[in-house]
Amino acid sequence: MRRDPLDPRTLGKRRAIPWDALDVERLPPKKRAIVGDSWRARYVQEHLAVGAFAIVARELAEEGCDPVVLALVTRAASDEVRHADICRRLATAMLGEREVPARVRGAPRIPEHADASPSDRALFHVAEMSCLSETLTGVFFTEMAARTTDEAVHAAVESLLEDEIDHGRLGWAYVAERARAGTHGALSAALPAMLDRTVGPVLRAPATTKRDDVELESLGYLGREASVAVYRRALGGVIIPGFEEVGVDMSPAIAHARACHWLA
Amino acid sequence: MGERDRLFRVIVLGGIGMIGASVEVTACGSSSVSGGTPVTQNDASFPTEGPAQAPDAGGSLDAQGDTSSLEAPDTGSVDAADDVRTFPSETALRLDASQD
Repeated sequence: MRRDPLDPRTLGKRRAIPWDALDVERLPPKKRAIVGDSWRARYVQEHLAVGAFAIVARELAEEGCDPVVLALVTRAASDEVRHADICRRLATAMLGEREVPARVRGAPRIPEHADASPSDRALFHVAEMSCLSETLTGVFFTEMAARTTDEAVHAAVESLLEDEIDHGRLGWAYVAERARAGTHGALSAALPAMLDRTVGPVLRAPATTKRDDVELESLGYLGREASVAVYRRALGGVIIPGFEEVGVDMSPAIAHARACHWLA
Repeated sequence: MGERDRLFRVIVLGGIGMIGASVEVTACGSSSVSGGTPVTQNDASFPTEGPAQAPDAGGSLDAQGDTSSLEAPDTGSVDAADDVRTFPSETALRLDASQD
């Protein structure tokens, strides 16, 4: 049965995380620190996503969009507060309270698109935040959940994942809405630079002969090899076909991705 | 169905399917604005969601307020703002620190 995105029962549902079952001792201190550091970094990014979604929500409120999209984007800002707290708890468990700030502050400096109209700017921001960043995150957490064996961390990743799916969906819903209205034309030329900012930092990371340490994955971690594989899979199998599905001309983005050797 | 197809179906098609043909609302307002009827605000105040606010002559409402009192205390906090203009990434941007 298809759920109603505006149903309060859907908006309010949250997965319980069995924090008492968290077993960080399964890893030796050095490896625990590596995983803990990644959760601490994610804590910061989740906090920055609060501000990013708040900016996008304001732009969409000004420009107008389907109420489903507006409900999801405003809820997303709140979701990210909860995500930041989940990541903080995991980082604190692995690194200790002295190593993890109790709270962080700050907002992201998102791309300005100074020459774009307000309408196109809103479209670009939704595409980059949701269709790219959050969709990549959804694919990434899907892989992480499959590899995480600790019960509490697995539940935490699943909890993050189910929200990230909605954060990605809101972008596809909005771009499809703009495509139906015929107001999506400027997106095609803007996508190569967006790919540079989103998949570029991972797919351009210098190659190494070091193999992933699968032991780290038990507490929620993907190494370089796995991350690169996830990003390639998401780009070629979800993101590019997604934009094509809604009618965006992907020729410039595909040419750019091929030139960068990001596609098989 | 492969994992790639499943994720495409869940995220992309799931998103597209959330909005059907039901978005055709043309009851009032400017038909030139596809996103909806425009509403604006003409004085510095927060929106009133309780008692109905009488619209002014232009039929508009105001949305811009003074946020100076909304700053959070910074006790126990660190600055999270990035220097680079990009959206946050919750995935693998920490590759530089991985497994070293």
